[in-house]
Amino acid sequence: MERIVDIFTRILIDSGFSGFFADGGWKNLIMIALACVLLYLGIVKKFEPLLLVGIAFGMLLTNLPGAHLYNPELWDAYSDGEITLTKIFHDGGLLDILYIGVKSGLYPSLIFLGIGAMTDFGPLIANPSSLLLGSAAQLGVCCAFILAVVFGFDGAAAASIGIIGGADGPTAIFLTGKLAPSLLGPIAIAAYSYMALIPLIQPPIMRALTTPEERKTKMDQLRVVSKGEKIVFPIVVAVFVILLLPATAPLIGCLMLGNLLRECGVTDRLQDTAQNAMMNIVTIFLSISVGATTVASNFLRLQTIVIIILGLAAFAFSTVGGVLLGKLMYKISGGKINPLIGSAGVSAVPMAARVSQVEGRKANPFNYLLMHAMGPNVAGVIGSAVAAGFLLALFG
Amino acid sequence: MKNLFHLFNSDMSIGESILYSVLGMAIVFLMLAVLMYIIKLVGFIMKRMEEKERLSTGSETAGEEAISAPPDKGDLLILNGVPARTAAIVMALVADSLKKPINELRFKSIREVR
Repeated sequence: MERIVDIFTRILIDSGFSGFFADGGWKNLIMIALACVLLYLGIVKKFEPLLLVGIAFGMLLTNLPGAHLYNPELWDAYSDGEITLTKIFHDGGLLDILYIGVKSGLYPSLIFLGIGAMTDFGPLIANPSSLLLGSAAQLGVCCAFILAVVFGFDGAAAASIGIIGGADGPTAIFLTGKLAPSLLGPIAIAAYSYMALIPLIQPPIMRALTTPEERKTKMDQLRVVSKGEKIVFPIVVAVFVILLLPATAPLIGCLMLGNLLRECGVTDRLQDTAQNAMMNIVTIFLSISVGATTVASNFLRLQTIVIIILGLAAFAFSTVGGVLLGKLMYKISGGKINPLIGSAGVSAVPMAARVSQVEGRKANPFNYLLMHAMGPNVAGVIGSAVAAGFLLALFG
Repeated sequence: MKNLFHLFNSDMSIGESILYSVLGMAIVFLMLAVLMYIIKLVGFIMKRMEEKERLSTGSETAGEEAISAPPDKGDLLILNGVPARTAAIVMALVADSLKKPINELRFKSIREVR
């Protein structure tokens, strides 16, 4: 009898349940509850479900005591040069091995390949001045960077927080994975949550900064872009941007390769794989690995709340930057450009462009801004990659 | 985990952060502005090349009447004196008999057989 009791006691002590009663174990319970909230938001409220469900489940798995699927202490030792990747392969859990794809920048780059294969850059080629709106909408990156420094983050961490303003999940993950991996969880969650909340965040700012007259502006139909232009575009952008800012090579290179697969017309199978099967597989790996970084001891800190607040500020300032340049272009063009399309420069394709369309139609039911807003929207993707490249060159 | 956050006590001064921000914004803006002009230039060159191609195709069939084909095809349809209305009817009939949308077909020329 005593032997049986001993066996049961040992099983209980070795089980994950006992971990909740260990020192700091209650934090894991909070994280599991938070993971359930995020799962609810992803599944029921449909907040970026493709990413948020994976992130939330990664968060759940990593905070189950005893599972050891992700071991942050191994990555700290790796960052300090004490161990090599071989040791991580040997001693790490499943999520440690998947996380290598985040750490190396592999997953965000492959996601960009898929985005390139899905994106029609036609509206941008038809109206190249959209690129200026895409650059103005990076204002949030700069403002959030300054604010993060004011709040006490070091340069690399502030840069990672700032890039939330680029409203581009893969870019934020790419940069944070390189500069401040310990902040990956909160930054990714902030970036994807606010992207889902763009229809709530942007409209009040857009309405506050524009007059009804400006919002009513109808824009001329875009010219038809030839197939040749669409094929040359990714080659030109890749060569020019990468030569000027080599740190952008993984993101811009993959984005433009994906787009070339789409436009060249002879690689239909590859385009199909890039935008469907590959994109889905990488999304699963990326989301679960990012979720895995949200270990309780690292996530439940004051800095997470500060990052969430700064992320919101970054999105707001990016919208302000885009709309203000849109207003300037409205004046310069003699009222031919609707300033509402400026807000779409924050990337977040195609959500931000849809918001411009909805707001434009509220002001004038005959207004069709969607295709005009897609120009700044895809320009924002290039703009945020360039901003990330600059920050990586500065702090990497 | 390394602590990258010390409340209101960063390793970087606010002045430095403003300087980096202004520099970053300027670089992003300049790069995309130059890219804008490059795209415009490429568009201009491509347009000229397409016009030249179109003109050379036209000179090979000098004296023949030409109208634009459906916009997504970008080819010339040679009518050989056939009225545009008659040509449109012929194209519609061919599309109907082949059971295919007219924009998926490519008509090179229409000639009246005497």
